[in-house]
Amino acid sequence: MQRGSRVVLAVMAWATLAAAEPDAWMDAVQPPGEGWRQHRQELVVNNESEPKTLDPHRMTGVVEMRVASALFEGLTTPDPRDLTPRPALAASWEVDDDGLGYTFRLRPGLAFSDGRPIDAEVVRASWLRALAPATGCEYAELFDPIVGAEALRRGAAAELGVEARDPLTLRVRLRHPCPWFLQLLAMPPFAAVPLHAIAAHGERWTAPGALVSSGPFLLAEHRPRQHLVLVPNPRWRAAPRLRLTRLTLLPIADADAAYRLFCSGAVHWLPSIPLAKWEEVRWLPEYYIAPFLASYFYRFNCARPPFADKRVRRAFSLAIDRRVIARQVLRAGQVPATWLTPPMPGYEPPRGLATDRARARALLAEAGWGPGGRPLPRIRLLYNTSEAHKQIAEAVAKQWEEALGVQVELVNREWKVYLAELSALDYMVARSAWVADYQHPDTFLSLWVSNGGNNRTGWASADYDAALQAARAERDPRAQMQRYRELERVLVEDELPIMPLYIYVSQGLLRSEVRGWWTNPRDEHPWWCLWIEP
Amino acid sequence: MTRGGLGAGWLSLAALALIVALCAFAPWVAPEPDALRPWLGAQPPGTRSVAVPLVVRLAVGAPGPGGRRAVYEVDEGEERLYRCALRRGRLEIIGPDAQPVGELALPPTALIFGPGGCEGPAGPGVLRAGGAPPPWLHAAAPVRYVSIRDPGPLRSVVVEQDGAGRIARIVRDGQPLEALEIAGDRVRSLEIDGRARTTLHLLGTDPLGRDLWARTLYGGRLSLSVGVVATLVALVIGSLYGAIAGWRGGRTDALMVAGIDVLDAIPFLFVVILLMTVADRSLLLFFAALGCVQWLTTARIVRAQVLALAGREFILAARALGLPTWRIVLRHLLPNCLGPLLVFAALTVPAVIVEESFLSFIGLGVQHEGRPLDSWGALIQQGLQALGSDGSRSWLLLAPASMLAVALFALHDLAERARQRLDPRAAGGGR
Amino acid sequence: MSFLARRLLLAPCVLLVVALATFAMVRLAKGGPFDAERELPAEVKAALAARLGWDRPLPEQFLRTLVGVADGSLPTLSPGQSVGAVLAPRAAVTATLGAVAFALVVVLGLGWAVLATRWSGSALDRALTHGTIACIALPSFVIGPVLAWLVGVRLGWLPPLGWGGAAHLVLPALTLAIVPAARLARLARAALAHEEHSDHVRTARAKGCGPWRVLLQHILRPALPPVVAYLGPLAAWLLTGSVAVELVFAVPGLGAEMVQAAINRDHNLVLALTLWFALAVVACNLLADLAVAALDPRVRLT
Repeated sequence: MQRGSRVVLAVMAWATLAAAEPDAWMDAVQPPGEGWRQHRQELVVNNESEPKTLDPHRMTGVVEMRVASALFEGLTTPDPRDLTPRPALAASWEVDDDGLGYTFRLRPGLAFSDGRPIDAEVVRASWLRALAPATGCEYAELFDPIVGAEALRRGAAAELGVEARDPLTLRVRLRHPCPWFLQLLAMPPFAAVPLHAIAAHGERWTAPGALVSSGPFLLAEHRPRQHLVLVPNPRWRAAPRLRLTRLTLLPIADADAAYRLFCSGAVHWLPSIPLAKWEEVRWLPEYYIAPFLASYFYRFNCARPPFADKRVRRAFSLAIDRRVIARQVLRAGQVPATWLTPPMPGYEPPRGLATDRARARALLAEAGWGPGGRPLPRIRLLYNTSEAHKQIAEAVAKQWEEALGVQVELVNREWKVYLAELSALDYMVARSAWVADYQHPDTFLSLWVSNGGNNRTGWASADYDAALQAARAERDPRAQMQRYRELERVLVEDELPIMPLYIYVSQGLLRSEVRGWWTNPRDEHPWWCLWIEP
Repeated sequence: MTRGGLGAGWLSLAALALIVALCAFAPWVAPEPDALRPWLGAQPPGTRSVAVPLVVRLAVGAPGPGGRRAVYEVDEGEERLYRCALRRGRLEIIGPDAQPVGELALPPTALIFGPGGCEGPAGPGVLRAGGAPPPWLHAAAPVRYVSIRDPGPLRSVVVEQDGAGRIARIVRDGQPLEALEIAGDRVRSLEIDGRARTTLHLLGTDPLGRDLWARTLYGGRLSLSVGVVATLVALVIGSLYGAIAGWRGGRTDALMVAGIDVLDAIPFLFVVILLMTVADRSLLLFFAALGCVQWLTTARIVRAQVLALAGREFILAARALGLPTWRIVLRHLLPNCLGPLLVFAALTVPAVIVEESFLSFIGLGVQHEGRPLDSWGALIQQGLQALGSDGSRSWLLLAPASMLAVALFALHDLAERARQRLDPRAAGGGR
Repeated sequence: MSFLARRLLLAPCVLLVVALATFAMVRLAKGGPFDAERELPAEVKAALAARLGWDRPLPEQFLRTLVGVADGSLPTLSPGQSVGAVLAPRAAVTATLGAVAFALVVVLGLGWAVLATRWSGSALDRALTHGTIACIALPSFVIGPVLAWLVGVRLGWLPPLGWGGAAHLVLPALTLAIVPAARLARLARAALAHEEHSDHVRTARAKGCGPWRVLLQHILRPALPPVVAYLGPLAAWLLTGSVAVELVFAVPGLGAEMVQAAINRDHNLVLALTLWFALAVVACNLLADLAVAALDPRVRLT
């Protein structure tokens, strides 16, 4: 894994560079020019749903994150070209030799949109707010690498390993080396929030007029289910770079309706397309498609027969030809996968189990099911309401029926019921997906620790837990990736508490006059660098 | 008020009978409705496809595909599609796995595909991302896909069967085999005893390659039965309830109307969402849920009619004669409600069908034996979603929509005629 | 006690029963508001429940909910947003859309039926019979996208979706009105036909009344009760929002909010919405009953 160490070298080299000129990269992302001045800089995008909240600490999904990235900023910010963490509130940082201590130097003169200064203490207090159970931060577990964070978010008394040495110096201590820590700092739960405004307005602090932002934009207008209007924040650290004068986010959930609006010319960007119209949409020059760091898989309920037996789980996975699902049902370029982790720099996932139906039947017989043994019970396949999930489930069920001679029952549940049944292990096989929180295989492989909240398969292995701890503690990047690869091999070739199906792609429609927009594997598009120029 | 004579009435009856019969005998007149052949995609009506399942499993001693000698033509080549698009005058190439491609060498076999299908050879040559576009990519043709096939071998698999229909021998390229599995999409043709074995898709196929004729008929089974059963439930409960409330009047009426108000004031959608999520989504529950919502309106109409009639002279006369209540209600009141009631019933069947399809629209359609069933409404909705903005793939919408429209039209027409017959004054005055 | 007073007294009872039933149903439904894609720790779930007052005994919760709905202060799942703040703008949108659609229904439906009766048996009458069937056969979620595509995108005359000025109102109101207008037209035509052949009409005709006078005075008036009985629930249905139309045209109304609230398991919001619907329904039905009584003196009100 030559590439892994090169990444580290690059990060270190760039860290030194950053200290000298922290914002040089911004010119590459948003090339200087004057052509844009002749055009109206008002961007309209579909945000696909009404954000449940604008509070970055209570964010739950991509819809809220799109708003948060405009309004709030943390210590780092992602480079839209390749997601490298770049300096935001922090101007530079140093990492201790043991990889456990980080010292951040904040930029001088940082301020919220109301003029109140942002200093190291504000960042520390913001993080404490995110960790307090009363806040109800869904992503609080992302703080877990920091000393004391896990106890704090569970409501226990603990000392957080974060210290504001002086107004411009923040010192963070981690429990284990965490190569992805700088990426985390760019996520909304790590954003600096205006605690003074929250104290003054209470729960209503996110209303227009009351909302004080630390990011590139201000909240100008918020009409729930109609639109959300953002305007530039003149006190943002790099305010002169902002070219957009107005950013409107629409909450249209119906993909067909949004597509109509796009065709009428009223929207610049649709982050997704109506899948049933793919055959039409793919001929538009505005259509784009890119790899996406997310994986689609089926969970097996390992707590109950027949899937308590790993031979049965393997048999069911071996019986599926994923090519049929990716190439013929989904068709857009999704990668059929017998492994879980999408492409990550420096990581080569194991191959997994290729389709082999004869072996599948043999394994099933060996486990004592099917002809000659106990008859297999009717397999209940749980999925949440969506046309795509239904089509995939139908294709999988058909293959199981034809290859293994089992009866499959499709169980369609509404989202919350699906989650409740998943959580309570009240299923046999369940459709699932996971989107990477950071660009590192850990985000997919740490899900399967015994009794982990997001495991939800009933599968537990002390060996796996120990191996994950060892992988996290590994200092050499190449050896670390090797350890993660071994973890994933156990997961997708031996134990199979899950059955991977395919790796996602992001696809949408973007008008060609939108500039400063880069495709990247998280489909993340910072607003500050965008502009309009036909 | 059609006065088209008997002819039109027979036409409606015939159309309805035909649709009901087709739906009832769907298993005999249509192929399997959920046979997936996703490699076909959405094909127009009249297409023929090779009759193979998703996975062809062959084994010596197992039942075979029929006939004496079957020959499968199997293509093991792999096709890769590259998207070539013009962005601000520059060429952009996206590979089959959604990754951008810097340079694409075009073998002589590479083909260009446009929205209408294959447009001819693309190469040979080399395409470079960011460079000048090839001549076949310009403002009028900003997106083209290049198909590059790995020259895979075309193999033939010969299956010989004994008289009992069991496989006696499997030979692939001269090599005898014990068992063989072929992915359905790789089969280019199937010949049994020298004749090509294909399935005719009368109404075309949907994007997953399922036969639309079969899906429309099976959808009709569901839609019609939901409509009829729920309407019957609504009529029986509603007219009894309404008649009693309207006739008894006074405190009973007030109480019974309050009952309707309470039930009516609980939003229908939420009742059904709740029912569908708390309990299993069985057909029975579905009938109950839809019928229970509809009977409220029936009850209201009957009650209003009975209230209006109760003060009429002939009812007063019947009362004065001392006729028993049940007799007045059954012989005098309900027949007089029949007109509006029949019209209402005729409107309720389609209304229920539409309501059911709306539930399918938000993903709460009925399930039966573990499979989500696609009613006409669901098929229409899927057709609508797949319908191109230039009207392409319209058969997906037109087939179920016209079947539904004909059925509903016939139902209404017959109901209207029945009303004219049943209402003596209307019949006497009209003809 | 008069009819009106009795119905007015009954209304709170109806609301209470509805509230109790809904409260029980939402609490029994599978899947709670804190079931999330990422499992939340028990401590966080407890903190969130406490913020909504769900840590108290059930009877107290129920009472607090009722009070909270009445003054609009009940908290929803969105932090800082009370049900009043969420619902007031939605209700205004739905009421506007509903009122326009209602007017369209009455004008189109009744107008068509009256014209068809005036020229009974003519081509117009036949067009009514067949046209209304065709209209009813089309679900609003088919009409909606087709209209939006045709008028909004292809012809570009009106905005294809969204909410704002009067132009945004046309397409959703039309979509909303088509099916009920057709139903009303059929219902009214049936009632009118019923009256058309009654004795008093024959008498009026014999006395030499003009066709319009007979139609409006002797046929329409007595035929109105079933029509008005239909308009009551219709008004309630329009007021509570047609989900399909709101979803298709991205109209920020109550119907769309209801589906979202039910899907998100926002129990407080669901309860407030249900009660609001119940109130609208009770009021509309009461009005319809009063109107029926006023139109037909033979209806017994006591």
